[in-house]
Amino acid sequence: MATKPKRAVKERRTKRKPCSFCVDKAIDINYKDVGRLKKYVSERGKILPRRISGNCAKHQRMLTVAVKRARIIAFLPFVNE
Amino acid sequence: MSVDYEVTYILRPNFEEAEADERIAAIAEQLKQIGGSVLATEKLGKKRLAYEMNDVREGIYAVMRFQSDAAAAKELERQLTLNENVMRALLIKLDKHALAAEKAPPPIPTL
Repeated sequence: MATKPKRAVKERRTKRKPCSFCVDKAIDINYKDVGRLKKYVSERGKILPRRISGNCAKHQRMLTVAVKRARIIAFLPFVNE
Repeated sequence: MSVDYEVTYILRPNFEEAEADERIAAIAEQLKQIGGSVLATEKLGKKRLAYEMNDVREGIYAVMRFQSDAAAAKELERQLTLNENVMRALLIKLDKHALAAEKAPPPIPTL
């Protein structure tokens, strides 16, 4: 009986993108920095998940707050249709 | 106890430059009246809104950085919502990260 190759499953996982905020050594994510925030929302205006943005948990949390604040003062849209 | 705050608000777009400056100064004066110390005010100028607000798509943005106790900050927020020239205001308590970023020369450009 042929044994299933164990590695095949593991190899599907691709390399994790480094968190772009960690790379920049960002201490804070400001809600007024629209140019930067725009990169982390979809065309619809939704916040991209960590799976896609590649951010670390800490910075993703800060980003979420920043995006929500930016929405309140109309720097970013709540919905983009 | 005095806490660090920042308030960003949007004035109606139909003001002239000088008129807008007056309103901004008036709001800073209001805060002083209710017991806060203004550290900085900045006019970001007329910007396009990401969505329609009060039937307009533009607004004059201004940011005020200040210190006060919680009651005064809350009172300022209340007064801003009552102010007819202000379309929206966002009051934020600056956390340790924001304060640290403020001290360090930030490479982040504000739009």
